[in-house]
Amino acid sequence: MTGLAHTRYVGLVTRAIAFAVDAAVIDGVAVLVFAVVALASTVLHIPDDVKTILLVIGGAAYILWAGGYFIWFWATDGRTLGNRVMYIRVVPANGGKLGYPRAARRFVGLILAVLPLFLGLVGILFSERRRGFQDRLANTVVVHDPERREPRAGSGRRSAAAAPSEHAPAS
Amino acid sequence: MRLPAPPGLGLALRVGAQAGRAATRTAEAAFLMALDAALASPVAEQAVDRVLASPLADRTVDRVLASPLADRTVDRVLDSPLADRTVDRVLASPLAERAVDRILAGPLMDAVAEDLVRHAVPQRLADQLLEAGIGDEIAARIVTGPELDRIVDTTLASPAFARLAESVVNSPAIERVANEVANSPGMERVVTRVIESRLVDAVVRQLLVSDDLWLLVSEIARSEPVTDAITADTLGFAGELAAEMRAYSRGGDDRLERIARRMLRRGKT
Repeated sequence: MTGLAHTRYVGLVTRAIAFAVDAAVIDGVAVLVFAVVALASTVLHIPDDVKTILLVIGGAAYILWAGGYFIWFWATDGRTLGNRVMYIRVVPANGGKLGYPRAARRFVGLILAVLPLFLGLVGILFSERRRGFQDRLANTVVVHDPERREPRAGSGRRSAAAAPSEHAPAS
Repeated sequence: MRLPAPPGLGLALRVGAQAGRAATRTAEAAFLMALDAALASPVAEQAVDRVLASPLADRTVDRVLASPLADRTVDRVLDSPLADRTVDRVLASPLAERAVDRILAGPLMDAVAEDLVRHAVPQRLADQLLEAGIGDEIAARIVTGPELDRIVDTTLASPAFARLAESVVNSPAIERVANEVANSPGMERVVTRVIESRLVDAVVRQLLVSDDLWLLVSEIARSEPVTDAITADTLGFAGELAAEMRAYSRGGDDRLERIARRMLRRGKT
């Protein structure tokens, strides 16, 4: 198992950066919504009991929002916003379309992989197709997406990463 | 003791004076008629030609003109009404016209012109005119008068001026001169002085406090080409940053993997 054999599959560092971008988006929106609700609550003089209920609802909404974010993006075209930045894509290991059930299964697998001190992600480092627990659970792989970015006129700068990479769903 | 005047003497004197004046007028009229007839005759014309061409006339004229008597005579003649009428008749006659034509067409004018040039008469005349301030007056009159405006307007509106301006602007000589001026040390010094002058500072201060300037700046900043350019540049910069990050992350994937496998192999051994 060499690095060359894994060039079409995405490693842990790139996936971690993409996840960080996704987390920034999710938390940014959540913080914004929380700030608006908190400001409104200071004006409306909500009782403490109701505030507790609102906090529980807010927590559930946050989980739904985060889950919905990943599931919806994976199911539609396999790319969250972080994946788009890093030009990676989640695809079924056996080809075809990911779909919502498999995306939901992958999200659950991601939570389960993270809970035991990220042990579920170790498989990305050692498996031939760089698959973590969530990939095995949903039977998916993460591959590099071909970059279609046109070179800027007159800049003449082009990153090494700008070269098209191979992309094909793993069979 | 004074003797009484004989009766009828005053009347006789008045009649005599009037008769004298009438005789003078009659003689004058006769003279003018004779002058008209003489001026109109070919004989007079030939006589004038001969007189003008003869050396004797030159000498006579020189002597006459050099004598003080001539001055006095000329003054008296010129002061008399008869001289005025005589000059008028002469000037109005075809003989004078023909004489002037001949003078202008003859060698006399060339000789006069040569003498004028030889003795620097135009230069001396011009110097005297300029010393007298006539040049300044003429210049002031031209500058303040409406003629200059009309001349300038007519010139600017003429197609010839447009052609001339176009040929001047497009001429290589003008371009060469402009380049030499722009690259000359003198121009550099002038520009440096202008930039360092208080005038520029004052202009800049005035511009900065001007509402119109900020209105213009905000209009430009809101314009579609500028916003498009800023957006494209920002997105381009962000894209390049992301591309760099992707390149490093791919290398990081491989390195992290190698480290993890090395550690795993060591753990097994």
